[in-house]
Amino acid sequence: MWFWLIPLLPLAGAAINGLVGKSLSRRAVQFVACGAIFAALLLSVASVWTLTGDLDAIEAAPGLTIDAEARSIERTLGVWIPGATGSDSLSASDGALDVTWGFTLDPLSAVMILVITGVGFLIHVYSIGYMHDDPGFARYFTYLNLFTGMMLILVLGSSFLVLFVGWEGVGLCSYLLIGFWYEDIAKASAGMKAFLVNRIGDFGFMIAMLLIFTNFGTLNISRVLGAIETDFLTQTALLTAIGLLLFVGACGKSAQLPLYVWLPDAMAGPTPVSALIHAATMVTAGVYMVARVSPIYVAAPSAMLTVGIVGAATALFAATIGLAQKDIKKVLAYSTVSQLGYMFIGCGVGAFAAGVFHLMTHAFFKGLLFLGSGSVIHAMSGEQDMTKMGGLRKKLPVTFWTFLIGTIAIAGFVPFAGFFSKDEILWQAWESGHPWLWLVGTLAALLTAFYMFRLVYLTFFGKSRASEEVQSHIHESPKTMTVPLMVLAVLSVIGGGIGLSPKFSLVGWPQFEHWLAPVFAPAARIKEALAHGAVHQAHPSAATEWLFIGIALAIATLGTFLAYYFYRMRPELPARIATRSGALYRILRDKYYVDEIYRVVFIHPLLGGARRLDGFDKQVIDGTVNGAGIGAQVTGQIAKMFQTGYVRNYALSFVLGVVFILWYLMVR
Amino acid sequence: MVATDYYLIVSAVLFTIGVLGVLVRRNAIVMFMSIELMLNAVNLTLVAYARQFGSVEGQVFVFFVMTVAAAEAAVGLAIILAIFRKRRSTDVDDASLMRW
Repeated sequence: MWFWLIPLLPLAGAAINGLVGKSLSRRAVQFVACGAIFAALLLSVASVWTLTGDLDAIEAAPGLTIDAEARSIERTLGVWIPGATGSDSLSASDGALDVTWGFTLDPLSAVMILVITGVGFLIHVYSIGYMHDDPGFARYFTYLNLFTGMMLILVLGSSFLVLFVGWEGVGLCSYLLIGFWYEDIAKASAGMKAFLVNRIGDFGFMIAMLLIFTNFGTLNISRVLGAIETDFLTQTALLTAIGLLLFVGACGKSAQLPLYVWLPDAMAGPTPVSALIHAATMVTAGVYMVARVSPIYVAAPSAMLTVGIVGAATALFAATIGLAQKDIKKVLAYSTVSQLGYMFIGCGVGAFAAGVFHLMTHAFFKGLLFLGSGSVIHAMSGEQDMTKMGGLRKKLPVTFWTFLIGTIAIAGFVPFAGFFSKDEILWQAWESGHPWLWLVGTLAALLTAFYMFRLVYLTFFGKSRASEEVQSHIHESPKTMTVPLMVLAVLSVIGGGIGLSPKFSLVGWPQFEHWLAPVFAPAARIKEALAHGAVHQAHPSAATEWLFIGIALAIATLGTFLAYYFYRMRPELPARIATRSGALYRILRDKYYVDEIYRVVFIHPLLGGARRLDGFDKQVIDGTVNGAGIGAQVTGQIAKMFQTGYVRNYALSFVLGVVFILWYLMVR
Repeated sequence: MVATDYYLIVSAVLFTIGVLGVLVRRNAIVMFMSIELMLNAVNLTLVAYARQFGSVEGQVFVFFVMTVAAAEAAVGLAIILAIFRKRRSTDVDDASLMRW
């Protein structure tokens, strides 16, 4: 089993491009980078294929642990932190930390590696065209490969600490890539903001790891999850604490309330970066992590409910902001925050498979949408303001059609991918007894359809509002950019065919939930164990299911129609409404002033405190050290007074000394 | 016979006067005179004890002291002469180049 090479291939690509990339030709750099990812993709496909087969047929090897029931293969590569016994053992560690470098391949990580390497490869190819004229070409691909490697480490890690290595690594690469054009201070600051807000989340994650270690004795994920089922079911308080702290980390990484503020600013980075990191992969790390530790959440219902509530609130909140944005990338950014909220709604009601399914479909259509917007920006000579666009439909046909497909997918129309995943999440929310979450989610869906079609109408329809200069340069993007768009468009259409619940799956295609069942089986078992008193609710009728499907489609249609009404039929209305509702519009456009609130509540006091500490450091600490020097000097000044140069004074000293000795001898 | 104590008292007084002379007077020659005075005071002490114990050793030591005093006076006066030729002043306080 060679699947442990999967993260290492992109890292090798990063090393090559990083060390010698500057002296290589463009072709060489792009070949190394895309080749590394493509190789990782092939290896991922091969590994997943093996996973679908008979696991017992795999021959045993040292360092290889195969669990056929959980359908997981774990491969250890060597000891990282040697504890008492040198292996992640649960009991005999004497409080010493044991961590080994290990990777686990199971259905969940299989989904993730396919998404990461697949979508990642398409985005690498796209970047060839997009970053063609940039002087930092090699540096860009180094960072992109590094990011992919780190993300793969994150999803394949078999220990919390290995996962955390990847977790931090993607945060670092996010910083490097957002602030890629670092000469612009605003862009560099955006990168810093992303990193700092991420770190706040990481703090929660680290405390959770501490709690896990002190209570479970190990950081190996499968062992911890197994122990929950057997020993820890009653320790709800502990599990709730761990769950909430891990979720804090997820909020930081996956941009949920209140730690979402970095993601809109992160649009300062190159658009393929936004597509890869902030749509398809890094921001999904939080969702992956929550799904991975599903037993913790199922055993701690209040933590799980918190996840759901935060997800729902974020989904609605971000959607409202997206309505009033003018920058095409900002709309997509808030849309991402909103859709991530959906994934957490799914996890929050126990429908982990649905959440992960939405993660996958979102990667397809959001990646597509971002790449499409990159194509638009490229054509418009760098313009990102939608109010200056318009009428691009005729001039950018491929971009337009693929973008439209992505929009239809995200709005949730059958039979495109977004419909299946979103519908399943909302249905599960209702089914598990959380009607409010369903309502909030449905509202957010309405807004999603609205603002996405608003974006399409403003950008592609109507007369062009750009200057003559810009209009003359508008051209369709090169093949390296349009082919990935087309591939993603196809995936956005058929992605749903993988099917989630039995009522939808196409004949012969494996069902997604069935595929992920071994991963979430422990969670299901815990749910059963905890519900041993309650009455098992009756299975709802098929009619109710179809009713909800109908509602979802109706909402999507309504949102689309409203967008059509306001931006095609009566385009003068939005401006009038904006001026009439003055304050409300401004609040939405200015993102509820959250950044300003944070600045006043957190940043100013922190900076003030930092300045005070700095003053303390300069005055007191440096003062003490300098004072020691000054003290020595003063002592010298005093001491030199004795050197008068007068012989008689010296003679006097002699006499005094003799007198003293005589006195001493007589008195003694 | 006069008690030894009286000789010692005289000697002590002479010595003290000599010390004060060295400390207080500024003229280099007067300082040397005071030093001679101190040495002679010590001579007196030595002779007094020699008489008390009836031994000759004290008196022999006086000879040594006198010799040393003479040699030292010769050398010291030579130095003072050299300095005087340079500075035209016998004031000891003028030789204070070794101050801070």
